[in-house]
Amino acid sequence: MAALVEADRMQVLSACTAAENFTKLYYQFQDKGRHKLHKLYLDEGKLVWNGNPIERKENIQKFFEELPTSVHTITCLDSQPVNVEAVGQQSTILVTTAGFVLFKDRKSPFQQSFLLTAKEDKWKVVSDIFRFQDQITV
Amino acid sequence: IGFEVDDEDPSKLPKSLASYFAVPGVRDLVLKFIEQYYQIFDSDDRRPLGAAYTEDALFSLACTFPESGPGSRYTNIYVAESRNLKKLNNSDKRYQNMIRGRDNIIALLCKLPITTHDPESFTVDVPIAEATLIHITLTGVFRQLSDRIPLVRSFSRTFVVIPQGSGYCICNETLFVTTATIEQQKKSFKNPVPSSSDSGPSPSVTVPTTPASGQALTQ
Repeated sequence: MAALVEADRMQVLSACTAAENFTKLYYQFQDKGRHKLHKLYLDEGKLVWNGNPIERKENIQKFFEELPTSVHTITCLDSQPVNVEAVGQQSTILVTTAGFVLFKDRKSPFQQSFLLTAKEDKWKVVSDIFRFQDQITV
Repeated sequence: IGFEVDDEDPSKLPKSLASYFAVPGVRDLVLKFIEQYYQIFDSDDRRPLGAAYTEDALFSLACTFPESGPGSRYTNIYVAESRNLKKLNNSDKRYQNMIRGRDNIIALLCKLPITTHDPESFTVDVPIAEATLIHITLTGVFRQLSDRIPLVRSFSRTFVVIPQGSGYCICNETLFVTTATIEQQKKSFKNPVPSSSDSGPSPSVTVPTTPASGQALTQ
């Protein structure tokens, strides 16, 4: 029993560490090295950016490169290991963030949700959902 | 002679689109689930939501609120349970603030303030809808009955949903709560929301509804 609790605890805490390391890299790449972003996604990764769907890492890369330069500030981060019933032995974590992004002089609060899966010893984004708290309608 | 500098204009940002569903067939299932979920969530008894969770589901709540002013009122329960890893460095706290299991999740949901959500503010994104797993994010606004001035608050909720028995259940969920922006306040609650007292008998969560058999969620 104690061993089970310890294994559970380890899994929960390692999801936290992975989420911290991942988000640090992800937002650093967004703001200062967009050309590297594709490295974080699975080949068949999916992004939904304010409702715009983009599939496959090369298209996601292209999409991000066309956005104006950004400065992200993360104010909130949460993470959970995804239940084995859902993903079997394929280690997967859920990461959610909230914060502000500055595109030129426009500062927008946003929330983002990622599923990351372990592939050949690296965490890769399976799906990424980004939404501004306010919709941009223009 | 000038320079060809980057002509950056924030208006170059792609336009926001409405809700997105990777598989059109999953739209009705997800919207129905959300409607039923919030009918119960906005009532004075959230216990029937237990049916929407797997027995060993995981749930965590995180929030950012101003430290003073109206936006900070009636937020103690959110702040106490918040698992914002940006602020929570202690490993024991990080472990404890992750709620494990259906019963504990329901106990927490019942402790949160009674709310009214504005369904017209909801935006749903579903990038993955496979037979084995659905990744859903829902954003929108709500009010708390405990707020004397009807303050609008904003939330973003992620569900990981898996097949269970003859239907689907939530196995992972994160809920983020914050204050609404001025824009959100202006646009929300335009249409009267029926109060929970006239919603009739409390519905049973049938998230667990299967799409017609043989109609897998994948294309």
